[in-house]
Amino acid sequence: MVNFFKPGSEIRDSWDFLDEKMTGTIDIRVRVEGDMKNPETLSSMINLQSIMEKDEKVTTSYSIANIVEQMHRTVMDDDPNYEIIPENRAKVNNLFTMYSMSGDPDDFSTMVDYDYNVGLITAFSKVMTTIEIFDYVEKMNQEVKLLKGSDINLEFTGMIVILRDLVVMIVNSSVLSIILSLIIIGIIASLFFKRILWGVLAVLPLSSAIIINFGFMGYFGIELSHITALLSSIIIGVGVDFSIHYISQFRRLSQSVDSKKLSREVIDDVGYPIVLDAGSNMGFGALLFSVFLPIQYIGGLMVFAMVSTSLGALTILAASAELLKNRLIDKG
Amino acid sequence: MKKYLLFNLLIFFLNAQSGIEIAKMVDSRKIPKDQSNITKMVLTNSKGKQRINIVISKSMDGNKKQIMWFLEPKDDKGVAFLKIEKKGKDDEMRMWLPAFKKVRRISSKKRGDSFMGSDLSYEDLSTREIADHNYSRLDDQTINLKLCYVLEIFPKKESSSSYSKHISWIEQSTLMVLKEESFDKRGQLKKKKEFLNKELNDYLVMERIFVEDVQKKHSTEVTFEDYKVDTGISIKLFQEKNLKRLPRN
Repeated sequence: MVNFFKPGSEIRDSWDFLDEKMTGTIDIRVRVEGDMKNPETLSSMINLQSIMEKDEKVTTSYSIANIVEQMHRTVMDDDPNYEIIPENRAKVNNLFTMYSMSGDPDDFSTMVDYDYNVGLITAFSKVMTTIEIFDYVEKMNQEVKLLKGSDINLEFTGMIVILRDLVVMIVNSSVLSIILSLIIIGIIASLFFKRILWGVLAVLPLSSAIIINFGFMGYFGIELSHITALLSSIIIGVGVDFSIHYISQFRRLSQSVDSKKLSREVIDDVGYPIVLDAGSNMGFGALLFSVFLPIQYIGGLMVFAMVSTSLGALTILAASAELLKNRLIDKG
Repeated sequence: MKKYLLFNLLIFFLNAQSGIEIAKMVDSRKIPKDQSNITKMVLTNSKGKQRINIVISKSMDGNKKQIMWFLEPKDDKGVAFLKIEKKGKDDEMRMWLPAFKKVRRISSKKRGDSFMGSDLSYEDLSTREIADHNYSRLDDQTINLKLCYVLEIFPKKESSSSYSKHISWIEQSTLMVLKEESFDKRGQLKKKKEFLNKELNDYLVMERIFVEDVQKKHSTEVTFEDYKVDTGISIKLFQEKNLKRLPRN
């Protein structure tokens, strides 16, 4: 998320400040179901917290187990050796009762439920990349599986898991929507131009542009994230026009122009308007100057989409139509 | 005619006690030398979940000295608590933790702190010193067919109160508080309290208290069973060593 903003922008500076000087901006939570007064449950929570904090980006973590440790130390004359979970349940219970004699009942409400059956470990992390989030969540899920037992059930959650699920969901739905859009555009073009082959040819420049887009992303090391996946589907929306212009003119001229000169005539007619259309849409390039990086991506991608789909229509589509013209004209 | 007017004026002045006079009347009400009971405290949170505490309580000097032993929940059986109010000083509060075999002092810096996780604070449970409050009388009202004085009570700065104001409904015939509303420092309604009283050996004692924290949507019901008064409790009972032994009755 932080990468959406340019370094030097106010929001990015605030974010960096929280990351560098404070505890970080991403929250990580583990829901723990079990007896929150049982020393074994509390010790498992402390163990998991120390594993969570091993990652250099995770700055801090806290849970009711830390409070129990602190209360234990206080009761034992502030001896640091006693900043541990007491050895039996009765002692843990005594500590909670002692606190309740003067503490606000809501003090623990963010860490444990009213019945002491569900606890929450909260940790904070500095900004992680999408790949780091995936790795961390996977690693923690493995640790959580190891700690699960008959008396304790743990579930890894928090903003970090939401971000991971969001990325997976957006990437998957973007890929699906790209494929579905291509199929639907192909069907619509087939119906309107009364030939399946036209439908296939209409989506050919788009498919090529998308493949080239992902190819460039791989070549330049741009991550396939929720943002890049979402933006790639824009290509379809802006690129289909050129194919339709070309095909319409091809079909119209095929009625009157000799097949040997057909492609040349079509390009003479629609080539300039297509290039002009693409050129005029380069105005989207102004978005490249935005402070919000996703808007910059949109600007860059629009420029790329215009160039790739217009060239695709005038080269791939034109060449394919020329090669298949006998089948297209005979039955057209 | 003159006599009739004078009689009416006399009745008027007799009925026209000021707020502070009513407070003094309430304060001078006859109270037992000592009290003992089994106190049941039911705490209910905003989701309807409950916690129940049962303690044996013994007190004297109008609850200025109080000792309690926990009976329930079972996990807490044996835990005991001693409170001694000291005028002009922080209350002395000590707790016996049987699992640690230690007596520990409890902090009592804030009078607004919750007592046993309930909606009653130490301030709610302690005696309200007349000199530390200003009183203003409002129009009388009737609650459950009982004619009540209605007092507005404003804590003075020296009372270190966590409240800005209380409104108390005091039954005129018994001088017992039937209802009270307490307002926080911002002037917002914080707690609603209802009291049920009963007669015992020429005294009027509380039978039930219901407190609702309207801001937290949390409530506490306190009921007193096996109530005994003037049983001759010795002042020596209110000592640390007695926390460790659960009394027989």
